[in-house]
Amino acid sequence: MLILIQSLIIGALIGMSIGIGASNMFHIPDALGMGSFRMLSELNACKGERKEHATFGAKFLFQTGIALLAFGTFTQDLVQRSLPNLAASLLMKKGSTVEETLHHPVKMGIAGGIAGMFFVGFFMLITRLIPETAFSVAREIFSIAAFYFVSVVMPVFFWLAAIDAGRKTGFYGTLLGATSHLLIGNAVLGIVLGIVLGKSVEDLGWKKTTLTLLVVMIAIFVGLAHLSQFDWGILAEGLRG
Amino acid sequence: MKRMSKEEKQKQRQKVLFPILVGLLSAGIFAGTHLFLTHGFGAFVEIGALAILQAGASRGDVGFYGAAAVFGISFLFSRVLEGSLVGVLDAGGSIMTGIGIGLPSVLLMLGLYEPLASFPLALLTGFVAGCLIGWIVSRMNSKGTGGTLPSTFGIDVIMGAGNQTGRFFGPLLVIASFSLSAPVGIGATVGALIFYAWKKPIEGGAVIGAMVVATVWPIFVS
Repeated sequence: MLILIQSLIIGALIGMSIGIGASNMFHIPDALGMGSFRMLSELNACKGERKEHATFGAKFLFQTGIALLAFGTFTQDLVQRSLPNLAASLLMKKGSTVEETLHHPVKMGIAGGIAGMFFVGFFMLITRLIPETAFSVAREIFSIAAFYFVSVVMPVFFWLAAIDAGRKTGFYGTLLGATSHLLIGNAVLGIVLGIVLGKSVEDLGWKKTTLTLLVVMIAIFVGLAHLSQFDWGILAEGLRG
Repeated sequence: MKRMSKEEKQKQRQKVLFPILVGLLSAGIFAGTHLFLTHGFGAFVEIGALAILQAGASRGDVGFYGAAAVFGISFLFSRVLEGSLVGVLDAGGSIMTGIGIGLPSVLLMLGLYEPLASFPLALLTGFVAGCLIGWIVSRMNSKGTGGTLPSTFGIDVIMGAGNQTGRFFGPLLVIASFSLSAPVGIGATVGALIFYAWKKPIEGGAVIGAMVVATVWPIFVS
């Protein structure tokens, strides 16, 4: 019950803000929009027809339900596709113009909030209905796959991306990636920092900005090594022989 | 002249309203991550990004949290720059990945569990962080400083790699389900095949297939 209330609050917040953000996109540059250009073009593609908006929005509800059941997450399909389109279709009546529906921030905010509350609440209730064994199996598989993903696939993939991006990014990606793996047990953080450092060295040379970046990165590494309780003693002992 | 002042007024109002708007979305999404971490469902992020946080959370590992943090924050950073240039803040990259994954992993890495353990506190944390992001975007947008960076800082490379990582998930999930038991793995394979034939993402099919096997024959799980 508590979860239902919490998901209604979350749904209302997300639906309302994405509704306002979507309608704000039609008022650039007077207003700042929130959403994405893909969402804007999808909204435009429906040409202000109620039926089009409703079918487009409903098309992604199935995928949303699957993602929530299987992984426990609502993806962009709900937030950036279903919600704004369904909110627009809620507002549209026969003969109404887009100006007074889709482009109207207050109305879109209210409709989005209602749609968000309804769908987030609905999907959360469905998720509660699945049997305990199925739920725990889904989470267990996800955990195992996530472990493979983060410990092997992601470091390798980012590492190769760093190498492919140029000689400097490859060099610093390798250096910092391996350092990060030594200190905190995962290379991704170091590779990403290496790409940032390598690219800025390539573009700017060793200037104040790049040196500041380097100092910040060293500070980050020292802090992380401290957080993960890296055993400096072993390293020192090894060096002494 | 009068028209001009009306537009100015509108702009002024937007400057106040936009940070609040971003704050509200962030509050919802951060609270969604709270629900996921406490109950196992209800996050508002992409599957690949969620997996990194999940790996960190299930092991309490600083290295994994570091990966999630740097992934989320680089998305947030690039989307804030882009948003202030073009006038549209990408809700998917900036808020869903940045606030839904990046911020929680930074907090967890630092050992700050409180904002993620309570619902009201999660709403508040998300709201404050979102307001800050909205304020930065609207300020950079009105000043026009978004496009003056001297370098890309490699963000394009990171985003390119980041956007592709989600693809690895389908095969990984099928492999992972075999490590529970062979029948669960076969269920996942069948599910993935059905979804593939149906032109839907195979990730969902793999897990649903495994869930069906686990429900019908619970003996294969324990």
